[in-house]
Amino acid sequence: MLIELIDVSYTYENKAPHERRALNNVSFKVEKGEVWGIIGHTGSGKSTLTEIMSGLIKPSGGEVLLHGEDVSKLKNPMSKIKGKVGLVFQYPEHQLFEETVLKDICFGPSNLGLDEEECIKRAKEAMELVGLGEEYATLSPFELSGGEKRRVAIAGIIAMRPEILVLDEPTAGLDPVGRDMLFKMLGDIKGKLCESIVFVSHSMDDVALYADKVLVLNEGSVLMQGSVKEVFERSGELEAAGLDVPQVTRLLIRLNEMGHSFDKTLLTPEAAADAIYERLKG
Amino acid sequence: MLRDITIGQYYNGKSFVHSLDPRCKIIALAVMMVLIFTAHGVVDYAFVTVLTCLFIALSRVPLSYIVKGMKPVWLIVVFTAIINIFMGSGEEVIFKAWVLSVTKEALFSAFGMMLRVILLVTVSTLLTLTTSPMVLTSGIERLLKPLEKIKFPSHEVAMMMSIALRFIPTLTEEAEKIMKAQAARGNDIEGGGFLKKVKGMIPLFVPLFVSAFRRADELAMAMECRCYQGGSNRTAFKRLEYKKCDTVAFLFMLTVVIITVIYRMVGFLL
Ligand SMILES: Nc1ncnc2c1ncn2[C@@H]1O[C@H](COP(=O)(O)OP(=O)(O)O)[C@@H](O)[C@H]1O
Ligand SMILES: [Mg+2]
Repeated sequence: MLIELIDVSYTYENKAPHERRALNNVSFKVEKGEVWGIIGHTGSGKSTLTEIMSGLIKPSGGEVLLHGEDVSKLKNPMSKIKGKVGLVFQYPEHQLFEETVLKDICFGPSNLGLDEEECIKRAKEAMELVGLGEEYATLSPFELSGGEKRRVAIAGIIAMRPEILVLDEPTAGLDPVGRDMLFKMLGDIKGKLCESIVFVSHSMDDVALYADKVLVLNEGSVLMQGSVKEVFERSGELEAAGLDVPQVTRLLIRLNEMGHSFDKTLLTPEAAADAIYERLKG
Repeated sequence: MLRDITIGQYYNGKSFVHSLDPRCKIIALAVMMVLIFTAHGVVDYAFVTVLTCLFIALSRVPLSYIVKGMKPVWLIVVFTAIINIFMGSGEEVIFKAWVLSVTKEALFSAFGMMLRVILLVTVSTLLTLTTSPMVLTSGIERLLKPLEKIKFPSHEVAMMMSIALRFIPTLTEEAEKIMKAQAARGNDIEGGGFLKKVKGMIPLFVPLFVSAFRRADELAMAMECRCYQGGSNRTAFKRLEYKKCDTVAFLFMLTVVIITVIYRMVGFLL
């Protein structure tokens, strides 16, 4: 197991005491090779959870185990987690600051104490993975388009070669094409650099298509977790919590209600289309 | 941490102080500042402290909220106090170690200095806590109006001030986010020496400035799209009107000033 959270709670100090906690006894673990999708309403604690996983904030209660070692009680959890869990913030393009794209991507690795040669080697590798050609290296990050900036920012994290890549709403503000490209890129990254990926998303469709496992947060608590199929099978509960199910699932549920029996756990539009086509043919 | 700064923030509430006209409050603040600056001696200190406490009570802003907002000022206050204690002169030495000595006079003046800084910050904070930025702007604008005779752009200045106030919380939030984002890339400003700390600030300030300029640009665009034209002949959505409570407040401040003047005159003459 790479990282495990046990009964993690978090309360923002500056909040009035009567307000509910941002996280409430959250437990889940990420194994090698898994892709997790975290879903939940705005304010359900998704971002807080990503910050705890990457050691930026310490949980108010509970444990965070990295390779089985509790890092949440350390005085400076960053020192242990640094470079092992990479967090890409929401709108990460706002954190760019260097003169050139290459220098900006080198910032993370150089903070790990690597020498310049190694930093540049990693930066170039990261640029290739996110689909930025050599010609971008000497450009200023501020003259790029929004989508390109985001790729630079993601490259800046994966150049640290984290074992787990955590992304907070990586598709926010992207159009459908940009979104598909991003997930394709994440697939490449997972194959080559990172063992596991955890991403936060608003879209059930994205989670259904690209994640293996789902964690559903509701008001700071875990509503359900498990494989994508297990979670989306319980569509009733999801809808009761005011969350959507993927469009494909909704269609299949409707068809089932109308008396056709389809496998409700088909998750891609292609698979569902094939099943319907077969039925129509036969 | 940064979010705790309450200077320049508005505390939404209903109270006597909230309902006062902004012009009245600004003038009262000016009077209070003069009184606090010129305070000297135990009686003066007690008088301005009591007044400030009275205003806090009347504003119904929780004391904890104000104290929390003072956090960034504490360092300066304590620092000046320490310097005052050791650098002050006087006869009655009550403590001596090595080349440092503390005299009774120095101790008293350090205490006075500390108290005055705290009171000054408190009363100024109280103004922004009890006056929404929009109302505050129109108050400032009206007070600056006479200066328009000498071509002073009173509306523009007031608008700039209110925008600046409006963006303090937004920018602190942004700064906090960027701090976290760079910490995720291993930027370390906690540890290390002075040089390392300064170097660690660059990744924070560059994105913060970039985003501040972007916001300014967007805001200017949005205002222009709504045909904002600056000062000439604008009417206000909320007209300022003097009410009975303003008269009460004015009379009160006037009494305070008269009492102070008489007290100080008497002290001066004796
Ligand atoms: N810096 C902060 N200070 C105080 N409260 C916060 C802060 N960040 C988030 N919160 C609160 O914590 C809760 C969870 O927020 P967050 O983790 O950002 O949710 P999500 O990412 O799912 O939208 C919300 O109620 C939010 O208002
Ligand atoms: Mg969020």
